[in-house]
Amino acid sequence: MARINRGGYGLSVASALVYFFLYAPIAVLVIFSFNRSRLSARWLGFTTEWYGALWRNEQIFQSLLNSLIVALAVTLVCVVAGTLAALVSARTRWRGRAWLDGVVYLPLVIPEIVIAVAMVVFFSLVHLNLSIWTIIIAHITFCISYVIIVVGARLGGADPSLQEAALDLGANEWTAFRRVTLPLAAPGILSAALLVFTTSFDDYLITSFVSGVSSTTLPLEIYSQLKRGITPEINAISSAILLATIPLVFIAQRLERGTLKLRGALAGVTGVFFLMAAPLVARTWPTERNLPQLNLYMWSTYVSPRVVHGFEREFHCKVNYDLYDSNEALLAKLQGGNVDYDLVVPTDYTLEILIQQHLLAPLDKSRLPNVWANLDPRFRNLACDPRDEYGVPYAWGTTGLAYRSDLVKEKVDSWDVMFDPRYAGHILLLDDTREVFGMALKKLGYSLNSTNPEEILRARDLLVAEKPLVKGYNSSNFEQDLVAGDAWIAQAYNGNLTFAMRDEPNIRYVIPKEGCTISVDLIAIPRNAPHKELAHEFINYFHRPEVAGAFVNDSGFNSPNRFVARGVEPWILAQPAIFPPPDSLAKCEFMHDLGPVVALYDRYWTEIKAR
Amino acid sequence: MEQVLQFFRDRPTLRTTALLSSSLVWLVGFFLLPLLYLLVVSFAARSPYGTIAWDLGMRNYFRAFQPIYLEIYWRSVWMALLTTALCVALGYPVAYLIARRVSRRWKSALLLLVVIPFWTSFLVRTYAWMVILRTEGVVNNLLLSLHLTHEPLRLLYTPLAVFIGLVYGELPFMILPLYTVLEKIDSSLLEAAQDLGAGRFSTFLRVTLPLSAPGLVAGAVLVFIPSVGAFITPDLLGGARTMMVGNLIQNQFAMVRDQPFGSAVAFLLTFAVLAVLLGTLRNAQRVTREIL
Repeated sequence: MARINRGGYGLSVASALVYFFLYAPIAVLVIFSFNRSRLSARWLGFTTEWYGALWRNEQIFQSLLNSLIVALAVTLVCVVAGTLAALVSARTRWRGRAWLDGVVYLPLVIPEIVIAVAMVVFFSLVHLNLSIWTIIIAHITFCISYVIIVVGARLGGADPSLQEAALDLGANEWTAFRRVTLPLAAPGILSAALLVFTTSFDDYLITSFVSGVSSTTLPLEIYSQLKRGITPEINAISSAILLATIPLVFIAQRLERGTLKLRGALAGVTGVFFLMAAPLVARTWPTERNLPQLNLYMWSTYVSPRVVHGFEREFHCKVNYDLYDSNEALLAKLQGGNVDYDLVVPTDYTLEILIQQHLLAPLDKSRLPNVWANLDPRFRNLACDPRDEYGVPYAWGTTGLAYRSDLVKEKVDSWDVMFDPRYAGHILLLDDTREVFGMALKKLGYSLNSTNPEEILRARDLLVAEKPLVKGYNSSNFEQDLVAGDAWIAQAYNGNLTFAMRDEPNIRYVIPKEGCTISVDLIAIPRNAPHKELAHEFINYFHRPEVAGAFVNDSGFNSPNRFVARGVEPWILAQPAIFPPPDSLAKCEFMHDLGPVVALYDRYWTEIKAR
Repeated sequence: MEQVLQFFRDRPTLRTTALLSSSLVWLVGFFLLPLLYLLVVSFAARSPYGTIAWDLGMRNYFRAFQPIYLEIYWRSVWMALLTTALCVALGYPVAYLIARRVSRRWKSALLLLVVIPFWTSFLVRTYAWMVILRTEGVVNNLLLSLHLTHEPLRLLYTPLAVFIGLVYGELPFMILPLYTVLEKIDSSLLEAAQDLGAGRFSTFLRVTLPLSAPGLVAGAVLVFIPSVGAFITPDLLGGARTMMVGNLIQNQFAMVRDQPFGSAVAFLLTFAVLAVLLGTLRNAQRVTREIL
C-alpha cells in the first residue's frame, strides 16, 4: 500500500484546485450579498441591507411560493406514479420491456431545449392555457423518469425472495408491499424525491417556455432580475437558499450510504421544509387572496412598485406581473393563443402586428378620461394605431448611442464609431433584430423601415463585416456593461441609462446625426383578457400626472403624459438623454411593421448571429 | 380488499398494465405526442406573421444543412467535446482521490462538497461567474493589484467564458460516475500489477484506466448531452455572440418566430444525440467485454 500512496501530494493539490474552482463562485455570491455596492465587483463595505430588502420584496416571495408549489406537486405525482412503474420495471419480464425502457430513458437523454419547444407547441395545439399548471405538467414529464430509474435500481438490487417469503408466510400482496417492498424501496424513493424536488425547483429553461399568467417561478424571477441588474438581493436569496439546502444534501448523502434511519431522514426533510416555509407563510399571510386580480405582462425595465401598489390600494385588487425583455417574446406568447393577460405593453410596430392578427380588444374610450386630457398630442393618432383604438402610449424613448467619455476620447455624433476597428471588442449591440438593422440601414442612408431587398442585403453585409468588432449582443442590461467598463460603446435604449448615468457620470448618450429609432410602447388589452374593466381602470389611473411621474422616477423611462414633469425628480428632468430638446428628434423615425419582409430580416439576423 | 387482490392475481398482464398506466399515460400523452407533433411542425412553413403555415415540405431540413448552420453544429460539437475533455481532466484526479486515497470519513465529506454546488441555483452560479470575469471583476482586480497585468484582460463574453461556465455546470456529472467505478476496483489487481513489475504510471495506464472506462463513458454522455444543447451559458457568459445549436433553436422560437425551422433543427439535434448515444453504448459494452 505504501508504494501506491507515493505521489499522492500532486493529486491532492490538483483536487484542491478543482474544489477551489467549484467554490469560487459560491464564495463570491455569499461575500457580495454583504457588499454595500449595488454594482458587482467593487467592495464598498459590509451591510445586511440586502437581506432586509429581500424581506420586503413581494415579487421574490411570490415567485418562491410558486416554485415551492410547483416543486412539491411535481415531486408528489412523480413519486407515486414513478414508484408504481418501478415495481414493474424492476420485477417483471415481459415483451414490452425494451420499449418501456426506451420511453423512460428518452426524456433524460433528449436535450432539454427540445422538450421545451415540444411542450410549447403542444400546449398551443391543445389550447391548454399557460399557467402554473402547464409548468407542473412539463416538469413531471422530465422528472418522472428519474423516479422510475432510481427506485427501479433500488428494487432491482433487492432480493425478490424476501417478498416471496412474506407471501409464503400468509401475507397478502398489499401487506407484503407495505411491510417488505416499501421499506426496501424507501431510501431510493426519498433520494429520488429530493432529486426531483431540486431539479424542478431550479429549472429555468423549460419553465421559461411554458410559464403563463402569474406563474413566475424563482428561477424566472432571478433571470429577469439578473437582466435588470438588481444584483445584491439575488445574492442574498441565493445564499439563504444555499443555507437551507445544505442539510438536504447531507440527508440525501447519508441515506445513500445507509447510515441514516428513514425516520430520521423524513424528520430532517420535514424540518428543513418548515424552516423554508415559515418565512414564506409569515410573509405572504396578510395578502388577501380573494381580491380581484389584474394580470400584467410587461417589459422587465418597466417595473414600478409605486404605480402598482398605489393602484392596488385604491382599487382593492391584486396586480400580478410577469416580465419579458423583447417584443418577440411577447408576440410568441400571445400568438400561442393560450395565455390570458389583462394588459400588455408592446412597442408600436408590434402593436401593429397584434392588431392585424386580431389579438387585441378595442378600447372603450369613454372609460379613459385621463388619457384624453393628459396625453401629449404628439403621441395621438400614431401611424401604428391611427384612430387610437387599441393602444394608449405608455412610455417613449429613442435608441441611440451610449459611450464612456473617459474611454472613447473623441467627439461621438455618428454611428460610424460602431464600425471603427480601433474600438474592436468594446462595442455592444442590442440583441434586437429590427434595431440592429435599423442602425445599419440608417448608416447607409436608407430608411430603417426599408422593404427593398437590396438595401436590406447591403445592411446585412455591413453587419457581417462589423461582427468581428462586436463584443456581444445585449438588450437588457447593457448599461451594466458600460458601467463596469466591459463595453465602451453601446447601442442603447435611452431609458435604461438613466440610473447608470447617475452611477457613472462618464456615460454619455447621443442621438446620432444619421438618425435613429424613436419608439412608443403602448398599453393594450388582449382580446381574451378576463378582467377588461379593471384593465381600463389601470390605463386611466396610469395617466394621472403624479402616477406617470412615479413611473418615470422608478423606471427611468420618459412618459407621453404632457404634465409628467410635475412629478419627476429634478435630476431626471435635467437629463437631455431622457427629456431631449424636441428639435434633436428631427431625424428620428418610428418603426413600422413590414409584413412579409420581416421574414427576410429575421433570416439574415440568424445568419449574422450564427457567424 | 382481498377480492381486488384476487382479481389482479388472476390477471398478471392487467396488473402490470395498471401499475404502469399512470407513468405510461403521462409519458405518451405529454412527451411522445408533443414530440410527434413537433416532428409534423418541422415540415410546415412560417407564415409572414410568424405563425405555422401548413404547407408541408422538406424545406426546413434543406435549409438546416446550409453551410452557415453546419458551422453552428460543428461549433457546438467541438465545444461540447472540449468541455467533456476538460471535465475528464479536472474530474478524474478528484474522483480518484475520493475513491482510493482518503479515509471513509473524508470520503463522504469530499463527495458532499462535490454535490453541494449542484443544489444551488444554476442561474445564480452562472451570474457569479459574470461578476468574477468582468473587466472590473474579481479576476482582473486581483491580477491588476498583483501587477501581473497592466490592463484588464478580456474575459467576459468570450468563448473562454463559455467553456468555464459549461465545465463548471457539468463537472459533478463527470466526478460522480468516475467515483463509482474507481471505488469498485479491487486493490489486489493494482497490487498484482505492481508485484509483476509494473511502475505506478503503467499500472494506472494498463489497469486502473481501462477498469474505469465505464465510468468515463457514463460521465462523458452525462456531460456531452447537456453541453451540446446548452443555451443559457453561451447567452449570459458568451454575450449571445458565440452561437450554439441551443441558441439557434431558442432564437427560432423566442426571437424570429420560425417555429417550423426551429423544430427541424431540434429534431436533427435529437437524432444526432441519440446516434452518439447508441454508438457509445455499443462501444462501451465492447470495451468492457474486451477488458474482462
